[in-house]
Amino acid sequence: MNDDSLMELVKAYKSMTLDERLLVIPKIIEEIGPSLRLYAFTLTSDSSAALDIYQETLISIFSSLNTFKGDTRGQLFSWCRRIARNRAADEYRENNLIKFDPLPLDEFQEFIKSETPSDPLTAERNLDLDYALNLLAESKPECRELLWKHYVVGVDYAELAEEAGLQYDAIRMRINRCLDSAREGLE
Amino acid sequence: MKKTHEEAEQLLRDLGQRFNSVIRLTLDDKSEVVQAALRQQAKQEEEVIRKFVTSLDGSPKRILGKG
Repeated sequence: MNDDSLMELVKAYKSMTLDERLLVIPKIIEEIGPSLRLYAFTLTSDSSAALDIYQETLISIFSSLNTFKGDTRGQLFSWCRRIARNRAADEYRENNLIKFDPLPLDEFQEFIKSETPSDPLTAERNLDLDYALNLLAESKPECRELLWKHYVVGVDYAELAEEAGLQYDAIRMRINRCLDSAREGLE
Repeated sequence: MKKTHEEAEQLLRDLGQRFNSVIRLTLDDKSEVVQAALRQQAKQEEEVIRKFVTSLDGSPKRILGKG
């Protein structure tokens, strides 16, 4: 599904009946789900809690999708991530959820290298994945979180700047420095 | 294993793409849970409206214009 199709579906959702909405939910989840699930890993190191946050976030998203006012895929994803942060904040308060530190790299590595017949891992790709995982492992916790969010999850500089209360250029430079520092650590 | 800044950026992005490929194939996407939750919410909302309307004059049909 391209960006336009997703946004048309989201706009149409507002005027749909319940039965129509139920039919399009799997299509929208297919588009937003993987990235959102990945983002949930950013919110806690407890993978079981991350799954709960993901599920509760989806329910909140579809319960209020008719109030979403954006026009672009970026705005939609940003809105979804804000809902995920709110759900995680509830969990932090109610269940003393473990925050993201450190990244459970072993668990993530095992998952990401699972067998996928339609997308097999070549030896070269395997090495590339190892390099990226090592970059994250080499980073300081605050850098790891930024690198993860920006490059792996795809959160843009503007959203990260807003989240951190920093200027756009400050967050961009910080991420660049974090990446260069991790690269140097691997050389 | 020396990589340029741009290559390192790309490899981190590839990590996210790989995650997306694996998750599509291996995990429940939660569509059914979400659908069930929305059905339940709709039922509860309908019940609230029904109770409210019934409390007005005891006849939901009349208020809703179906009587």
